[in-house]
Amino acid sequence: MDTDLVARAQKGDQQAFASLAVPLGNRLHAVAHRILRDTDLAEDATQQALLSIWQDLPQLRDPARFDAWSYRLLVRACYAEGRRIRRFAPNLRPLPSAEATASDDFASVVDRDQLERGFRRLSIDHRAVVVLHHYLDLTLEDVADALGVPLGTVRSRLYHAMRGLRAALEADARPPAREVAQ
Amino acid sequence: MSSDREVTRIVRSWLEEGVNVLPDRVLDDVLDRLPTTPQRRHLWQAWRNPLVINTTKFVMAGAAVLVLAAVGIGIYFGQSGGGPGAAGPTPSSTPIGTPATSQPAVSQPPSPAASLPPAGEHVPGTYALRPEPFSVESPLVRVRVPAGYEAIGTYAVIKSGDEPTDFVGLGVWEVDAVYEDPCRWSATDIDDQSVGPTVNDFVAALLAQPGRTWWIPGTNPPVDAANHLNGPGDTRITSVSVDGILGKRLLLGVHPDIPFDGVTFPDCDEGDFRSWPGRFHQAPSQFDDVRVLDVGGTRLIIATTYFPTTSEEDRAELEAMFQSIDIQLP
Repeated sequence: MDTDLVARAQKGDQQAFASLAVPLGNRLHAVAHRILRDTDLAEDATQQALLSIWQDLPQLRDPARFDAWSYRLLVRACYAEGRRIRRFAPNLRPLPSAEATASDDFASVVDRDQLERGFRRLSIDHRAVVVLHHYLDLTLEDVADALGVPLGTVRSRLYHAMRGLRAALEADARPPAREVAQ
Repeated sequence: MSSDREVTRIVRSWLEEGVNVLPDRVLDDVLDRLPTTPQRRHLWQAWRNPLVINTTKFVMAGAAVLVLAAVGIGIYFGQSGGGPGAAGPTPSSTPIGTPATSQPAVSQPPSPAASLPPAGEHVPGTYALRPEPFSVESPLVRVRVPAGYEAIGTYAVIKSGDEPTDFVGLGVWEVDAVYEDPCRWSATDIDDQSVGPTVNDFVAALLAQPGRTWWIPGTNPPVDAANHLNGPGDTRITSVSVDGILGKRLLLGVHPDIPFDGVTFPDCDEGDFRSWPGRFHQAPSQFDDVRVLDVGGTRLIIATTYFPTTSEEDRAELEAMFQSIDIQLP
């Protein structure tokens, strides 16, 4: 991240912001897509986050913190999208199955489905911690910084989120119930 | 089935799947909007919309311009005695959106309330504010907006100057959560800070917020509400009727012990002292005159904001705007 570009964009330089926005947009969209599990919602959240970043950039005190700050605005946008869709629709739409790769060696289709269901049961806040830590590889301290919450909150959210995902996977591992002939 | 390490590995692998590139059309749309999207001065922060600015809202903003134009044309026709078949506006007619002159649009006979113009416009007239967040079940708050005010989103109108305290505004909300601690608002998931559905639930949640200063509602200049009885004698609460709809009224602020650096509250999360999602204080001296109403089962919050330095003229103008409120059920 180029702090000079950030500083110029803070002063209203649209070209500088455009230069930032191309790689930033991809990064944010990848994160939003993984949090929201929906392409359209992720696009809306990314668009909202980019506009919020532009609008609020003058209030960013330390340009070196631009990445963490932008993730915070993105998670807010994801939260807003999740909340909005919850108001009008009971469920998020599932990702198209074509997006699942065929090359993974870790998990069956059933695993993915169970993970998908387990992940959707998590709140946006819990999803964000999982994605920032396990997808972006941010340390828990950096996740706390990005989200603007205490480290203990991040640890707690991650613990509960991973416990939920583990339960989802283990639910699949249990043998199916069978009817017993009387 | 699996160790924690294996679960982590599975989750990490699973997260690798998915989209990694933002479509050009989305990025182009953002960049196209930069010239018309002003960067925020801090004094707007108190009314910042934390929720969504999505495609729908931009479409609504565009529609608002069309509605405003339609209302303006209707007013023009009314003035000229025209109607269907009458001659249209001439190039010399007053442009829609021009700040009030000797005959502002608000003085015209009753006309349909327009949606708010896009942020930044200074257009007097009668507008329908939409509570934030808005749903199809939300009531509309029709209000006569004087010259000099501008729209924030579709839920508030403000008049501001160069100083953070040179600010008055009126906004409407339909929120279902109140921060347990306005200074430590991010410490708890907002979903865990939801309050019950009634007026009293919302009022009780506000009264429980730490770091507050309270004044007796309706006093001018505000008188400290010293009697915190949490009961019928509590001087922090009065009953109120707005457009015939009953509710409760509170006049709240930030306790002077909360550090303020002239721009932010540095000891608070992100420098903000937040009452509820979408509502911030921008200085400890800010008065938030809050009315919590029960509109046919929907809880509507209307807040007016001013400062000790607000002129009597601006206070009177704000009060007149508030008195013009006409709440319309969906």
